[in-house]
Amino acid sequence: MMKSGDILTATLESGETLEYVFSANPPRGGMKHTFFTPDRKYAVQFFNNPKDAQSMLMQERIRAIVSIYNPTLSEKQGGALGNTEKTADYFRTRFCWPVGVVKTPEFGIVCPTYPQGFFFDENASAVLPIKGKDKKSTWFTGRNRKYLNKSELGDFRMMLKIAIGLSRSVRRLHQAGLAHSDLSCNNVLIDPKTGSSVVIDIDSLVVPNKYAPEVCGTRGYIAPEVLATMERDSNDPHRCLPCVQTDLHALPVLIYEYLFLRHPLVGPKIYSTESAEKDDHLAMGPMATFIENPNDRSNRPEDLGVTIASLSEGLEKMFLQAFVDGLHKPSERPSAMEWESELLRAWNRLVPCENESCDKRWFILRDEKEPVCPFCGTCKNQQLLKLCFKGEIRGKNGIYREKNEVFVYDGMPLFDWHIFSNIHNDEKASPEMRAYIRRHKDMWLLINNGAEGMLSPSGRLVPKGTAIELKDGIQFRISDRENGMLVDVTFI
Amino acid sequence: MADILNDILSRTPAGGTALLPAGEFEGPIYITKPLRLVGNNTTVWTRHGSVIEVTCAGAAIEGIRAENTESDCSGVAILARYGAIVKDVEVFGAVQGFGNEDRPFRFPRLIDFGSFAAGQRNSCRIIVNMSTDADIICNTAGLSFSPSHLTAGDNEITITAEDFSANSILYAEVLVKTQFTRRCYIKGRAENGIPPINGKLLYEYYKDNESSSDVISAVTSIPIHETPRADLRKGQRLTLQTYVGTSFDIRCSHYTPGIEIDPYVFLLDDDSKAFGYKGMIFFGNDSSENGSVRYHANNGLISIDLEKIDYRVKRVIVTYSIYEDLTGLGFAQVRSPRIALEVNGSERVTYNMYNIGNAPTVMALEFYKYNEEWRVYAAGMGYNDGMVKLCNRFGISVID
Repeated sequence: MMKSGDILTATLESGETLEYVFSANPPRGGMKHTFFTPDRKYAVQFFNNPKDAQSMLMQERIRAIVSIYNPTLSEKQGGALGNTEKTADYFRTRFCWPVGVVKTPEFGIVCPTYPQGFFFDENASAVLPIKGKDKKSTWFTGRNRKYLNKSELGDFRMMLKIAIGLSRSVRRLHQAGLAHSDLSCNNVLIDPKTGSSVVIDIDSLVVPNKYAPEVCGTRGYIAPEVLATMERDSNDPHRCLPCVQTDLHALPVLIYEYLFLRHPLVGPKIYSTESAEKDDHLAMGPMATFIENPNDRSNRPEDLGVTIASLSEGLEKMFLQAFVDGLHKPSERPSAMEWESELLRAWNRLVPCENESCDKRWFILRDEKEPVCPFCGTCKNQQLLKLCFKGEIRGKNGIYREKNEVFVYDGMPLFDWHIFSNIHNDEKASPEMRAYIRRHKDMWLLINNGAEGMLSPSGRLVPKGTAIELKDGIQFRISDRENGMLVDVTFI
Repeated sequence: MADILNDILSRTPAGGTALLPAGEFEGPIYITKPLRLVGNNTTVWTRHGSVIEVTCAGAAIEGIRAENTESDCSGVAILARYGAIVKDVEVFGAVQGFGNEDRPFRFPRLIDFGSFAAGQRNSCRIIVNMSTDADIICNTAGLSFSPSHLTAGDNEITITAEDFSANSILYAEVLVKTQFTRRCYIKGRAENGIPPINGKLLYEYYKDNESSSDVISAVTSIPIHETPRADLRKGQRLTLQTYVGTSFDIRCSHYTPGIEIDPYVFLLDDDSKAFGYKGMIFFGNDSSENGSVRYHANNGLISIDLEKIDYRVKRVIVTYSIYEDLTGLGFAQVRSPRIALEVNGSERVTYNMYNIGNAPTVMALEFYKYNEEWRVYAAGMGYNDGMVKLCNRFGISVID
């Protein structure tokens, strides 16, 4: 008779064996229960219902997820097509992707446990005993936020970083032809201290036209059309099931929550007086209304505070597209790639708030003529510095066109995507800092930390360890190598 | 940095070819015997003084870029007491030992066209002084030079910018070729609604004040707030100070359940032998004599404090070995083995151990001192003979 603490051995389909610790009361979710390896590096999960474990379709789906659909495994190692070791490594820290399939004692899944940063430690709260709990986003975006120590909460920049990371992860899934199907605050752990996120519960992934969804989603994140048609028969052609487009509802809900600490559809409007359930069903389903809908203020809270108008123009448009045009028309929803691009453009417009007491510490500079922090109202008095990056037009030597612009702050690092027009801020780029900007004795200095071919405004070589002064109106090649960009400096 | 290149030169015999690596290197470098110096996208620079000095006859220099970064254009880039054969050599600055070319080269480094009329023909003039005949080469469509062949002495050149579309941002490279190549730039912007420029004089060499360089040196004392990170590739070396300082932890991670990997750290002396009876730190000996290297059994981390390392220790080798007492598993079965140097739990330097073969043991990192600075070398060398043989190699006897 097994007892808690006994060490059992599982055999994986790859032939390896793995020890795990039996527990009489393992953590149990809707589909599976979980044991851990003695070093707690891996979770070994078995299905609650033996029929699920024995289902050939389920087994086939899990095997496919672990291998050919796996973005955390290089193509050489049997992972997704086109995956390099570098990109596999990148996504390994962003997904808790299953690493193995258990054969005996019964069919199961092996997943890495969440990285340490996604559990609260003993310093997380002075009032609640939350040490060891998962960092679900509701801790940071909901009512419980006030119980967390300030050190846990991060700032606006970190929340924007989390949004970028999540949209990148979802983009990667969709690129591989997969849909998560249950994106929610429960399945995305975040760490505002570091600005990182990890997507979990990967084994409920949908492979469109191959493996149907097993779940419908989580309340607050289920797409309205799924909720509206949930009661229909599974064979009803009008029934909407989780897919890529429903992910594209849940994704902006999560992004909105990260940036505004509130749900985009939860407002004062009452949809039904019949029952709370009916009201909720309508509010999240067929009658869902964005709280910032410019054409329908019926669900707009009175004390809205900061709105999407305080973000970049591009991000404001994206939220309107997602929650006005696309709320009930899935095909209108922006793609994950569009979210990633627009969030990155907004990232380039982040400037620090000069009010040291401002909790958000950063804001997106929407209007250069009115640099006011939307969170605390402090006007930015210090000089703003903008870098405009221009890339050479293909086939036209020596002719450049604008690519993007970035607002500078003291200590800002520059990477390959600031140097070469053909390198983007994504999983393929090197995270090595090539240069950085510092304010030093009333000068703004761009210090070369390893970019080759950097030229000064007068065309001199700027080797590693040397710098140029950034002055208003200067122009320089940040690298004279192929695809090296031209930079204009503007003081505002 | 010059040491790397000068090392290559010193090891090349007279009559041989010294192949330089790609990259930017601080000089000066010295050619003291007749050999062929060949660069491969190699740039050598100095702040002041000559960049390349040739003190013998019979030398050849090929494929190199040489620049003083802070002198004006009269600073000597290449000094060849007995001359030298040059091919595909780019310089900024003067040269000496090359006949007529030793005289100053008076051509602007940057020509600013300013705003000019889009869709129309615009022209500017510059007056330059050449020490020898030269050809102007420019690959930007719509930009032309007349004459494009210059003769020794004064030359008035007309530069034409024609039919650029509106809002074109021009920053073109121009090569002036003598036996050396000198690079210059033309910049400007095409705009609608302004009259075309017609023959404006932009540069006269005799009025050139040769202003000092706008490159600022001595900035290494200005650190960055944000913590830089580095990702090492196999064979790469990195100076540790900027990234981790001298005290950090080393973590090895991978994604292969069922495989255990143990660290072994060797402190080696000048003879590449383990230093002292505690010169190998692992789960059986969890600390060096003075605690400069420690193994933490609870999490497998290695902590290193390089400041405390005994001065007689010349190298610290960090090795990982798969624990498998049955048929041999190798690192080819380990999914994504990865090393991270951490400070306060935050990764600063990482090394993904790609392409290390199927050995059960890997010498992953080597720490060593160079010019009083601690560096790390991403060795990634598989060792097929196992830990026992490796210990023997480092002078440690293993009792079964």
